[in-house]
Amino acid sequence: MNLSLGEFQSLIAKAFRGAGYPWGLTEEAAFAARRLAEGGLPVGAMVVRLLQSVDGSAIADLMPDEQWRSSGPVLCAVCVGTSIADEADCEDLELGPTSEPIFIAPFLSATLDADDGGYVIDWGEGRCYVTSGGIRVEGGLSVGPVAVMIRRQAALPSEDERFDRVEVDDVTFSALATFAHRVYAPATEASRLAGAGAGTTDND
Amino acid sequence: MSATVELRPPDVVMRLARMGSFHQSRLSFMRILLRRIKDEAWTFDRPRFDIDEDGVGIALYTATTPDRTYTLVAFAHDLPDDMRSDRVIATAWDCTFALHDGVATEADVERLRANVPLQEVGRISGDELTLSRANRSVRLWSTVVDALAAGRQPDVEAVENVGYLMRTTAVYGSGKFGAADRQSIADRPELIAPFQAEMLTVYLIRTFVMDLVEHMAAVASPDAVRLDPEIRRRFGIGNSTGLGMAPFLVTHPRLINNWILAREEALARVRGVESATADEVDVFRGFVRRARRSVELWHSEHEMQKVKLVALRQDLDALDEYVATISSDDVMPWDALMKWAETALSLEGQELVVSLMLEPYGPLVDELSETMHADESSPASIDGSTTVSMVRDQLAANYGWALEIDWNSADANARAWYVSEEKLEPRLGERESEPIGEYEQPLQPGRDAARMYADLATWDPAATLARFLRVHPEHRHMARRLTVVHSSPYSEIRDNTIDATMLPIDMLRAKLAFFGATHFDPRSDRWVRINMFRGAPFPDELATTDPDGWTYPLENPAA
Repeated sequence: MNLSLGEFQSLIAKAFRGAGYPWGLTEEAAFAARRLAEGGLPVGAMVVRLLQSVDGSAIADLMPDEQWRSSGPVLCAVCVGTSIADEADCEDLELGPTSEPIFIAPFLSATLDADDGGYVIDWGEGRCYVTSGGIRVEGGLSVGPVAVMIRRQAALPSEDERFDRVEVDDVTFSALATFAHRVYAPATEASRLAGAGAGTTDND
Repeated sequence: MSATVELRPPDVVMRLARMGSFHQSRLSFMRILLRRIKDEAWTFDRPRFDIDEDGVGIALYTATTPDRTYTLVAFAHDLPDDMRSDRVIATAWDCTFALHDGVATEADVERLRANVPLQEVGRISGDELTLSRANRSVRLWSTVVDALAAGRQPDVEAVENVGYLMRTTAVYGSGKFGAADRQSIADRPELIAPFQAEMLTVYLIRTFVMDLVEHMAAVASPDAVRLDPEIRRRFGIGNSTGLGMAPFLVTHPRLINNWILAREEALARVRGVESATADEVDVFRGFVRRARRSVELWHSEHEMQKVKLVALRQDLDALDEYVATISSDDVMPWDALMKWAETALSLEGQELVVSLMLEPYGPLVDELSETMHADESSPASIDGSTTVSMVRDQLAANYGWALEIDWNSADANARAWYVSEEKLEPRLGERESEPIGEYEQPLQPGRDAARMYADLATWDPAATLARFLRVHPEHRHMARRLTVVHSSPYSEIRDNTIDATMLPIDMLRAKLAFFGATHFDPRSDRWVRINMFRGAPFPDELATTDPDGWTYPLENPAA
């Protein structure tokens, strides 16, 4: 399915909400997903993996504590990313098992100005270079929670191309839609009549 | 010469009762569009009109700017009466439309033909800007077709009582159902102002509908006549707007701020005019008389709107007396008028005066239309270094009204906004009697601000917001709203959006007034019928007509 960026962003926000994230985090998760999709990454599948790895966890178990550790088995990259963005800066960090660490990149990018240099997010199999204007991935994407190192880095490459549409395969779309569907209240007659103000016909 | 007049404070402007009394103005999106069309001398064409004798077929309408062409692709259907179902659950329409970006090829038309009639169930592409549909006004359509077929003009009173031949029930843009993202087109001068693609769609639909009604009359009789241009202009496009539009005002805070700020700045500029010329006073008086005509044509069966209209008519009497006294010798006459209006008129009347005061001052206020857009695709960043005590101060300054509400009372927390799995549209329910609490959308900033304020009270005042949000991520959306409202004071409705007595139609009206809609006719507390482009010149008339004055009927149109 070929989606507009706005449609994709909205679907991702609902999927995160469906997985139990607080509203504020869903907005930023969706924006991060949009930003990564503009770089041509297979973000839909990454979001599905992330949400499946944390599904059922309490949000408190996914948030980093003051030592950037989680109280649960896995850290969520979006929770790490937003926390770094809130601090507006980031020293070298070693994170325990973190799901889809590339999601930290858009948040790191937002803390940087053009002459600030950048960061590298390294998860062993692959790494991601981040500047204020670019996010570039080298090596393999992580396919499960992995240990992550974040370090400052001087000059860095930027992305080559930006995409303005998102291609999502049917299996991924269906998995995202399943998470998203959890935000919808079941249809009831009361809802149809009272909730939406239906019932009166408009055929004058 | 002008003096500086303070903007009206957000605590005054951003109340639902006042927002529910907003009127269209020079800064409304329909008027911004028509001014540009005229300024840039856009050209219009109808390259295809293949509609059969049953009114079924395809038509194409193009609008060409100095740089590019947009095409309305219109599909006319034969909708059986038994499918004229309830607005909320309809799955078929008289006509369906897409606005294509460019000249539509045969392949584009075929692709759209397979999707556009399905509306939400179909897909459009990045080459389309909008998706919409419309239904006939059953009461007026056959009256007009029959009259024209019989060789006479339709009864003007019947035309004015309804005001439209077709009514849109949705105009989707901004990336919906596969359409182009706003960000991908927002650098085009003609689309920078908000909702210009949607307004162009409706404007072209209006032309199509008039062509269609004349076509159906011609099919019925060889003696059919065409509509008299003066009567033709009296038709707008109706619109039924439901709850789905209401959350937009809460979910687009930076955009809403820019709309309201532009209008408030325009008001302050006019109030700051030190003296008015005799011409300007005359123009204003003329618009007051025409506003009275407009209000005479404004009908509603809704009890609350009926009461508001009675008050508005009294306001216009009082305004007549007042404007007779304005003279070019007065010092700051418009500031004096506004101060008088605030003490003498209802909210409907006050807000009508705001809109009317802008009419003589296009050169002073029209440029503000360039400040009304905002990119809402990236969330505002949160300054995590702010201390807990500073955050509490900011909450108290911007949400003081909400901190005074007892949120444990049943009325204050009576309702919840949610999205139903049916039609995936926003709805408003009763929290106590419906199983909707866990599906609540974040559309009650007042209550959420109060909750955050209470949780902050248990924290060290010197701690940072960043640390607070790590422990309380549930307050993150409120922290972001606070960031926005701190720099954009008109971004937040300063009323309880889940109160037992809240009227969603107030939210709808505020937005529709900025579109440029007139004749608001609430059909319940949660949907409203309006008219768009009523009185506007058609594309072929714009070159020789005022692109602005049409929103108020002429005092004596036959003269």
